[in-house]
Amino acid sequence: MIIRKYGTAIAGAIIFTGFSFTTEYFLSTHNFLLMLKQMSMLTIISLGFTFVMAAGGFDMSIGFVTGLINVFFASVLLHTGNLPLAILIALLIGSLVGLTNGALAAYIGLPDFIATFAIGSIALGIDMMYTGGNPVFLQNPPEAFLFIGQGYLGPVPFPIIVMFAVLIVALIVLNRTKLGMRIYAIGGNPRAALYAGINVKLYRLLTFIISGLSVAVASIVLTSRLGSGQPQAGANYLLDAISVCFLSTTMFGEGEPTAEGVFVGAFIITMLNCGLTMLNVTYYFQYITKGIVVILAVTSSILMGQKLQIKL
Amino acid sequence: MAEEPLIRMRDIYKKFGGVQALENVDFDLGYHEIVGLVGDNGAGKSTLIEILSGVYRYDRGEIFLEGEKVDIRTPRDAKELGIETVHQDLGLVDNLNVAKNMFLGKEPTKFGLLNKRYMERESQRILGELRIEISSVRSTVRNLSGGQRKAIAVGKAIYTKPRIVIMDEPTAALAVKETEEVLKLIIQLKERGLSVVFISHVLQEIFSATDRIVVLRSGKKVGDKKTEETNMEETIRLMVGTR
Repeated sequence: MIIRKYGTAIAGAIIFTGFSFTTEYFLSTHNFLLMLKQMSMLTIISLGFTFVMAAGGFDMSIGFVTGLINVFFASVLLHTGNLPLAILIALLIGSLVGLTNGALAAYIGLPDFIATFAIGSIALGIDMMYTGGNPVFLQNPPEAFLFIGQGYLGPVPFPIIVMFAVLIVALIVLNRTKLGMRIYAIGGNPRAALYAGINVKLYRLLTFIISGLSVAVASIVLTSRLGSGQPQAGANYLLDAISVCFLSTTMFGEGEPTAEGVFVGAFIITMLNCGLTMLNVTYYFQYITKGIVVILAVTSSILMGQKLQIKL
Repeated sequence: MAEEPLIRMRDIYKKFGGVQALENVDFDLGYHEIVGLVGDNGAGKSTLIEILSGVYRYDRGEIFLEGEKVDIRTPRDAKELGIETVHQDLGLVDNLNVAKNMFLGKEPTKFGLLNKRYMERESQRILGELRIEISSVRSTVRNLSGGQRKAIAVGKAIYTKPRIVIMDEPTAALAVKETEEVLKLIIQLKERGLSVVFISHVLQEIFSATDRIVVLRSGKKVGDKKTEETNMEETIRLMVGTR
């Protein structure tokens, strides 16, 4: 069933063609690179989210944690000027958040939705208390720091390189390793995974840590792009990442999220944002289109008999 | 004192919430023996074997393997002791293919990556040996028939060459011919030197395949006799508890 497997990707191609004909600048190398750059953070966050979702879980904390790490990363850099230290602390916060999410959801047994929602709320609270809601501006940030989000390797913006690096790692881990296979097994049938002698709780915990780490990597890129720490910077990422992962479940696979699906999904969402802006559609309308796109994608795959592996 | 059996479960207690699922249950399994475990719904059959396979932790009691006390806390512990189980719900992952299901939990790797070719080749060989017909070991389990799924669950349990195989309702929802295949397989396992715990609701199957029959009722053991020394009437009477 070609349509069933590639329907969403084909829809993406149709949207792409549509924008190419209706706008002047959409179909150009410049705009293409711009979109890839634009989507890099969303893709990285969504790839982490994919691990959680593949194991049958859900992570609501990603948006607010993006903001939290953004602010603390900028702040450490502002006060010490030490980039490696700031990166280390960003990754540490990411894994700590993941560890907490995982401990609550996998070990104590809170529903994922509730555990990660609460942790997201706490992250927002810490973020706001620390900053008072004000941005952390960086004075004379190190060159290397600015390079992460604004630099180029040849003609290619560096965030794109980071995105592809994370994508390749995710592809390999999910499709080619024991860890990936077990994660999909837990998402498919946790009881069967348990029977097979797999430590289901530990693996679920790991997926949350992977998600937290991905958020940290994306936040580092984001901070460099913004050149500052913005307390509210991450809020939109939750909605977009959820859209991307739902789109991803409708692509290529048997109803489970895949890394390649996330890439195409993130491209579709970014393309919509970009194309609609070029068509002078108001920014706020994009929320509506994203909602509609997710409903259409998931509905069509349900109608075509695909079994979506999502439990909430 | 008689020779120690292969498995000896002694004085097993298990409570779920306020319900006493097992109370003071002794259960032995000898070498090269097929033991039928019977009882009405809720008698504690599944609970008892899930304790032996490491899915549930018992509240009280002891388990001995060849006379030595063992601690079975997880399914992995059970597998390491050579105890494999075909669970009632089969324990297959629908979204993985046949080969991956066969090797779930003991995935072969090469340079840290999954060795898919090995998994596929070996699954093909194992299923072939068991005369289980699957069009491709790459097909997703979701797309297989009930009989095929059961066959894979059985193949998965026995290819690691365990010493003990527990089969929880392996014939449920199978066609007559498929049921006969499963019963033949159970007897084959014994001929290969394994011991089998066989749970079924169909007493004819139990009587045709087992050496001994253990009856549970409301979490207690109420019968334990050699198959040739008992009959269906007596077994049913023990199961339902009327005189």
